[in-house]
Amino acid sequence: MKRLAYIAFLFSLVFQSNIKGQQFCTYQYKALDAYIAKDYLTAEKYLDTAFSKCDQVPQKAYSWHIKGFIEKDIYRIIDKKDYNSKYREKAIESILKSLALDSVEQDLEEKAVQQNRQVLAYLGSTYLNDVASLMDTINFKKAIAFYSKYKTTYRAAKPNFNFNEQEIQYNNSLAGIYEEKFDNNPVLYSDYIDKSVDLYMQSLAMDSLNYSANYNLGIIYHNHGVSVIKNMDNEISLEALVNSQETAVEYFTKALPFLKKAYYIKPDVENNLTALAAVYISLHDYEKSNMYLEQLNKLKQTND
Amino acid sequence: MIDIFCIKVRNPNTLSIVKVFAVVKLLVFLAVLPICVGAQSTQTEEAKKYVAKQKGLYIYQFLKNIEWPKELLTGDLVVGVYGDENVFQQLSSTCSGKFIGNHKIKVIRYISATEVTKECHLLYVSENKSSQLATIHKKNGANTIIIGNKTGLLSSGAIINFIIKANKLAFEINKTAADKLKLTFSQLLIKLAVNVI
Repeated sequence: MKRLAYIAFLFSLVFQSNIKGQQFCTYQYKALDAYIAKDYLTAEKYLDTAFSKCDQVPQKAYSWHIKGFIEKDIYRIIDKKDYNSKYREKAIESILKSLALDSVEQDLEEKAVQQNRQVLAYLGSTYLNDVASLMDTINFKKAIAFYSKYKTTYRAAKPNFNFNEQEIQYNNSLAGIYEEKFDNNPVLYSDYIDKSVDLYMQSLAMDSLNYSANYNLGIIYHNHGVSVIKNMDNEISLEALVNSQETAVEYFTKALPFLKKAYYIKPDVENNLTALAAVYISLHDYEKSNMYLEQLNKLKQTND
Repeated sequence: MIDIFCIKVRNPNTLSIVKVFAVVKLLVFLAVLPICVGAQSTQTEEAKKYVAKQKGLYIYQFLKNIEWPKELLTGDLVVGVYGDENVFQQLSSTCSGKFIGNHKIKVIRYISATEVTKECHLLYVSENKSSQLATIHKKNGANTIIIGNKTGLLSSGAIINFIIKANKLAFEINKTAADKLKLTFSQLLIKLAVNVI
């Protein structure tokens, strides 16, 4: 009800300005009637007609502001926030246009500017919701596109917003999906594991103490080493055996600092202790492996 | 690639949503990734198996790079494993149905040192059985190439000895002892050994 009153107020602002401009646009009245009747699609249709037939309408920041509200309501109420809804983008475009016009004309009230930014922030957040629901091995490309839209939209609403927290969560989630893709078909998706490493590295560049990124990087490198050994054929030559072993050890060595950091961040995670013990076995350092296994046993006893 | 080795228990990555309006519901995304059942207990065991795999492959290569005097090698080429089930399993798998020249490789597991006979041409002795290496050597020395697994065993009767160098499995050779047995080691084997005495 409050929103309806607000929209009616906005329509009146646009009408007043039209009358002053000696142009009367009946489509706007029809749009208002339809909006009050909650017939949002008809409201949109009349408003679009007003935009095309009444010269002054598209030049007003308020007009775009209203259009943004209507498009947003179509997306939210009629399309039920379907991620494929075209109305979300139309709403964002309208609000951005409103803000752009206002930056020149300065005719929007402060409240309307704030509403514009709130709507943008809301619509941006809906993209992030969609990212979360689309983040799987099938839909991840859509999730990537939506995350980009989330950032663009949200930044327009809150220019000083620090995205690091979301960025780390997003990077780690996508990295996990890439790992899963790679695991499902290492030959076909061989490049995915490198992408995964890149994303975890980006997370660590923002927060070197991020547990997920550290732990998962350690596991990736360790698994690379294991993969080298697993792929050693029975007929491997002596020289190739020596070389492959060196490659495997390089990976195991790379795994260590990440797993140790993860252990430093969360010393009570059993998986991490096991991983460290396994890496040290792979590096033939049984003393250190046993040290972590002892800690693991103590931890298990405590947890039991 | 990592389906067997279950060190795949990843930390679920979460993606939570910024709550801007009341209508924006909070979603928590969990990257549901495969978690191997019993992963923790098997990871270290799997790691040990991969170490054993490397040893098994080395031993198979030793067989291909050593020439026995004709009088010492007649019939099957018997490879014994004393004390390490993983290495035995690996060798059995690697050498299954294989021949060196006309000699079929036969892999045998020994439970005690007394079981090791002179028919064994090459014997792998695990690290925890190293204390008995000298005894075995004394009994079978002239006939059996003993592979040790601990630093310093070349002086106790091992002709080849696995050691760890820079976190890598490496091997050293007692060529003097090998020459006495009229064994011929390939140039490649000598070249790749980290220590030859």
